[in-house]
Amino acid sequence: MSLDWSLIPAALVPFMILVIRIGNLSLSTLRVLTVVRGRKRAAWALGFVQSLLFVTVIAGVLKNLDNPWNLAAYAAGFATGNVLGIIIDDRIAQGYSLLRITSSKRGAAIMEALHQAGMGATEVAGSGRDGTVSLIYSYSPRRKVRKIKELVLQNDPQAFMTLLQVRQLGDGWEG
Amino acid sequence: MISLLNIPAAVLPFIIFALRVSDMSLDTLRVLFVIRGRKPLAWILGFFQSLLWVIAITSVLSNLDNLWNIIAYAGGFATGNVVGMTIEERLAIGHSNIQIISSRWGSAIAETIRKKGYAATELPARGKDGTVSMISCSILRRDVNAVRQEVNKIDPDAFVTVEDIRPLHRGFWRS
Repeated sequence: MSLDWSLIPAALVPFMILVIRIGNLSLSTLRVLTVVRGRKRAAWALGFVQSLLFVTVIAGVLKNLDNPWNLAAYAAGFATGNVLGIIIDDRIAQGYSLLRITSSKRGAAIMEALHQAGMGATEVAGSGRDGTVSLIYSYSPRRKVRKIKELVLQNDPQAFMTLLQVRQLGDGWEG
Repeated sequence: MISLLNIPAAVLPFIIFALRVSDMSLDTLRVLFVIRGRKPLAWILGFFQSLLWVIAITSVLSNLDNLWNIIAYAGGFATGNVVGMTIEERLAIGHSNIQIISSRWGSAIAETIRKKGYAATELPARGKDGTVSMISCSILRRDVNAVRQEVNKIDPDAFVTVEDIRPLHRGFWRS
């Protein structure tokens, strides 16, 4: 039943290829990200739809190689879809990350603010170039990372922050 | 090239499915090895993966009139993806860092981990309700579950995260 490309006017083919390829690659990028995070069910579902779209597009391109616009659309769709996938993943922002904050003077204030906002935070004393610094670890849903960043910067615009990708160890492991 | 023309049409979907499952398992393993920087393994897997893929895609493209071929292609892709993730989890190549935050049982946890032969570094830290212990423990990935169970036995409320690491220099690794 696959898409019959011969029925589509030649002028429209590049656009269709572009659109399907964008859909295909966004799913593919999302899939790779789920693979890295170990989410099997999501990986299966994304993989199935993605590869269905792929077979349809590749057939359209291979049968119409005489039109360079088809090739351009194929490549542009690939590149655009790839970036779109990253953007979608950022929006969905599933899972957790570990935020590590280094602050030279305002450690206690940042801790206070995080706890008040309902976030878990653990402070370790460290020493930096100019004396004692605070290292603060906070484990939070990826969705809230931006909010935490603002909260920290309000308390210490000089704070140094890094984001670590961590995996949770199964159920019941959240404190 | 393997000729798929002589294969009865009823069997073709199954062959496509099998090819796709194998090539996607290899591909998923490859991506996961690339992330961990294992070059030789990534090369070997990439070679066989693309070999199988070319065979599978040509057989689908020359038989696009059969819907089952397309479904087998997509289904094999999705299934191979999950198989690859499972294989990679079983192999558990590489190293991980476990971070444990415990409010009261820090030294007991560190002690037990060391008795089992793993290295543990304990840091005093401050949480919401006062002093806590933060334990950093770098181990082989395949030992993650063993350590996790030990921690769970002592303090079920401990907060535990894992991240994949690349060791730069050997300190103490149990191996």
